[in-house]
Amino acid sequence: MALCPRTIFIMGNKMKKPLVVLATSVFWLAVWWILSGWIGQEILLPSPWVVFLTVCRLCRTAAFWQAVGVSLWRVLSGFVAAVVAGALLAVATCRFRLLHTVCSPLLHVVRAAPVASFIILAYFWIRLDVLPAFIAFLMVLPMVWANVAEGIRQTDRRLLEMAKVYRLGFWRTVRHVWVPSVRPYFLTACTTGLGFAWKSGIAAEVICSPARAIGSSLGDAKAYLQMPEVFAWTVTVVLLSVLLERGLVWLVYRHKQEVTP
Amino acid sequence: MSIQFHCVSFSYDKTPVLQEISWRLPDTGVVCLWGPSGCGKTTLLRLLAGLEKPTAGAVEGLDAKRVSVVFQEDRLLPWLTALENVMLPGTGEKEAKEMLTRLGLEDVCGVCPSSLSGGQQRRVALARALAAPCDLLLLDEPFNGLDEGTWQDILPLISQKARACPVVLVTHVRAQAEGLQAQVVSLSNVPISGFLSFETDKK
Repeated sequence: MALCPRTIFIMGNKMKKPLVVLATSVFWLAVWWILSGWIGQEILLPSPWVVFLTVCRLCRTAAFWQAVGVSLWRVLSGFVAAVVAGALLAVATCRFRLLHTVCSPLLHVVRAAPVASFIILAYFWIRLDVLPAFIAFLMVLPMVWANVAEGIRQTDRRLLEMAKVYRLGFWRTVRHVWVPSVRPYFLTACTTGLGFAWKSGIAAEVICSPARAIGSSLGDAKAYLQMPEVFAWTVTVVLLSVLLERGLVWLVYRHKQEVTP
Repeated sequence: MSIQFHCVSFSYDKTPVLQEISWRLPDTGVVCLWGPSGCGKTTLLRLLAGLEKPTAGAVEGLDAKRVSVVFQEDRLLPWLTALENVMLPGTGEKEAKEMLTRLGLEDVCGVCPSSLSGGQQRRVALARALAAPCDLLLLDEPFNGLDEGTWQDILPLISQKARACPVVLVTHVRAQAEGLQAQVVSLSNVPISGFLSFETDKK
């Protein structure tokens, strides 16, 4: 099979990308290694090797997996609740102008206020084991609401007129016009929202220290000046964040054909 | 029951477009609305499609009538294939395929509109309207973007439809109205007012 120059160029790019990622990762690991060697104090900056060993040690304990499982459950339950509530709220506020007027300032305040303020406030109102889920919910809700509402507003009126003329009825119009029009906005909100949910949920755990949680373990490590453990838990958070986002993107776009650049 | 306009008035943002129009559509055959851009032809079609309500008067005889429309734009669903778009109004798969074949689109049944040429998209929009079971067919400049050979081939399909129900055509090409042996309503002044009559009646 003959390949056109453009195909070869694209294939070349695809092969190069992992190499570039690997090379930059190695470069920054080397910088970290050199810096930790130069400082020479584990309490300030442990070396990558020490952190790696600490991660391996943590992985062999049941408490580690328990913390990972509980944190994931909390954040994901808050995220799912926010996605459902945000989508419903968007539909309701687009349908009822008064509801939009009432809810809009509240949602803008939630978006603008620092997450730490809500964590501290919620600390006094909500049970500790529910709090991270609530914070994740609070961070994702306005994002899903704003995106889905925008998707609804951007739906092509001309297609809706066509659906009306051909008497598609309510459910077929929802299925064939509304849902495909809003879907890209909704999926963007979900993929960005998950990262926010994860980070804010972990931040809530650090501040409020619920039992068995990644954030609590991170906070404890900080309190006892266990810097290798602080780094190890941070690495865990970053890895899980990447895995969650990649997992969701795969789940959402797995049926889509790859688009040629 | 025939479709009739009874003293229909319509305004866009307080600008009157139609003033106390009275008009009766024939039960079958093609009616061509003829006139310069912006004279209210599309507004008349939108009232017939039920997309606008008269500011005064009434359009009678539309109740329970199934309307098919070819809009000025194609208005195809980009996420559905050509065949699915034609089947959307409730047309059966066999009829939809047949109509696409008659319009020379048999090879692109499974293709989404974004991968079709402008002319092919137009023909899919025409196929959707012509294949759908209807009691009134509205065509707003339906041959936009099609060459003469293509629209000449489509005229018999519209004539066939016009034997069973009224067809209202908006066009700027006289030959299209003549090819369909349409009764022509000439519109010129904005706002349009009074009784609308066919050119043949005036002679």
